[in-house]
Amino acid sequence: MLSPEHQELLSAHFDGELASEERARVDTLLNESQEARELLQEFDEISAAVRNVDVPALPDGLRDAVLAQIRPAAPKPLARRPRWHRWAAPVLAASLALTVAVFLQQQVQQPATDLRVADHVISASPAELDDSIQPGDLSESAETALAFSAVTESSPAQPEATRSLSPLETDAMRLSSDAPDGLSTRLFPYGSQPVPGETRSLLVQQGDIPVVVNYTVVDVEKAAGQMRVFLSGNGIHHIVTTTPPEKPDVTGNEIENAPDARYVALLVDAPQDQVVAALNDFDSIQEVVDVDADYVEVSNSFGVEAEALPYRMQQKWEANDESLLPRMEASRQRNAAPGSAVGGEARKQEPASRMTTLGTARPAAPSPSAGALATETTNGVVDSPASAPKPRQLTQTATAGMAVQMAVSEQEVRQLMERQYHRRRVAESYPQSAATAPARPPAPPEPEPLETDGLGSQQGLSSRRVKLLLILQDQSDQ
Amino acid sequence: MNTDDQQLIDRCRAGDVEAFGGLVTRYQDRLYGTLVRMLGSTHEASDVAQDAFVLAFQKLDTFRGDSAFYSWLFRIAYNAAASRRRKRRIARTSVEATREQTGQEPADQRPSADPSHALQSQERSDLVRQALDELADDHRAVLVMKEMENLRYEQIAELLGCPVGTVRSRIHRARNELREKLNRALKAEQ
Repeated sequence: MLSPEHQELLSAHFDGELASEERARVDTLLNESQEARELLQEFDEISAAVRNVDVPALPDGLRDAVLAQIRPAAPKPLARRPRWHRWAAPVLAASLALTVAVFLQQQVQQPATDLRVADHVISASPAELDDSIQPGDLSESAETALAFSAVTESSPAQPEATRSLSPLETDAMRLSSDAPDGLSTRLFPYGSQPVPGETRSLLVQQGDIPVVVNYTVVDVEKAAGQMRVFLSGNGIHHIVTTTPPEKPDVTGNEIENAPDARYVALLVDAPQDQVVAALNDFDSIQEVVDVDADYVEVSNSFGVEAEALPYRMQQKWEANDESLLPRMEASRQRNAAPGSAVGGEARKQEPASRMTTLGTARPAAPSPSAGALATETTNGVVDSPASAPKPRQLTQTATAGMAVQMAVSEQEVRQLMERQYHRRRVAESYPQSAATAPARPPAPPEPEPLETDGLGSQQGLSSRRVKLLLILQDQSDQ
Repeated sequence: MNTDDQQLIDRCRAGDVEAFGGLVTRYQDRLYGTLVRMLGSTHEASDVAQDAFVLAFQKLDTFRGDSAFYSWLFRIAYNAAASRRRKRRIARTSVEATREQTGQEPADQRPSADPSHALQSQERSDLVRQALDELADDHRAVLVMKEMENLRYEQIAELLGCPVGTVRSRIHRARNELREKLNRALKAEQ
């Protein structure tokens, strides 16, 4: 019996593909083995059989068919392709899906930027965009950006909650909100009113790159309702606020509210870990700002400059609420923990490093339009998972107060935080919200119970139910 | 390269599309025959041949003349066939397939009066083609390339993008498998 190796050698020999050394081996094999000679004969028969397989004649017409295909066809009229197609295709392909909470009546004058806006505003469906923008609508300059609205009557309403924003999207959003003509002017040309769920597009310039920003008009009140449901489902107490009246902030300064500004903010109370767990799914929240003692400078906390003035605020808290004193002591202990700066002056050396990051948090954009989530304990003590080592009991028992800001001005956040610290005032100001708040379950046993202003906590919540809350403040002028 | 081929190619490049018809006429039968064996279907083979000729015309400017035109054409055809085969497996031979491929009823399977000439008869031709179709695609392809196009192992390897040793092994396996199938069929007939 010939080995497979010998059979393969014979096959290659039959094809004339052997080197001289192998050929010598095969010659020897053929001299010594009748079986080898027979196999070689069979290869020959098989080869002949394959070559002699009867093949039906080639159907007529192959030549003509080929020639018909390769003969030059009559020239087709070239489709009119506007020049902007050269860059529009990649732009559209790279279009960014954003969800924007739009506020209609806010009138905040924005500083002019170098963003250029085209003269024309074009309304078109996304499908028509490709053909609706003509070269004449754009200047030749790469610095030109065209604002247009894409009214999609046929498109289904988009969910208010979508997804997180990439840095590019954030930049684009900042561009759009910083536009000299104002976002609303361009979002709602001809005075048209946005409809929640409506998809619109905005073409802006990011450096030399035109960027199409697709966004969905969101009813912020509805979004707040979703957030409220979400929080309630997780046993997180919350208070929904709308535009608060102007009032002095905790420092006695007059808060400059934007006239007729609309916003929604949620003030929630829950254990820190509960809040953290629950809100991890809110992936559009770009940053979570640990306001703790930095609270007094909360205006900065929505940017990257969360300068701290902890002592000042702690003193304020102590003056306003004696019940906070024990926890203030805990806060001081924590601040004195290894790796943590001690005291106000030292904390000033510690800028934004105390920002808590949750979910897909990323470095804060220096834009007030960026969403922010402010967290702190009820006594103002920072309870950040990203912060320095903390006393165990504080972590386990402290009730966190959280302000979820949706297009809320920095001053308004101050108010929210103030109300957090002075709960009776909050209850008086928002009796309806307080009355509709879900019944709170009893607080779990705690090794060293701390006063929680009557707010219990709930452990073991289920999170990851809601996808997000988006945040953008309309800073346009109309 | 064949002088006549070169002249036709030059005319094509000069804009004489009809000259390409001469190349089609010259090589269509050979290409078609190989493709039928490779694909197992006359319809597939005809379609692939047509596609290959059209592609060859479109790529004619890239043909450098380093090899024979037919070798270049066959390479295009093989790639077209491989692409087509990836999209759709060829149905195995059946009574219907036999009729489709040959335009005839299935062959009479009665044993030949002279077994020594078994593989030379029409019936045996159908038997061989059926056995050929039953080979694995990669085995059948290399065997057909060797037997029909007489390509060197090195050329086949380049075409398939595999080592020469793989080609050698595949051809050997294809021959062995074909030999066993035919032996079994002949024994069954006898």
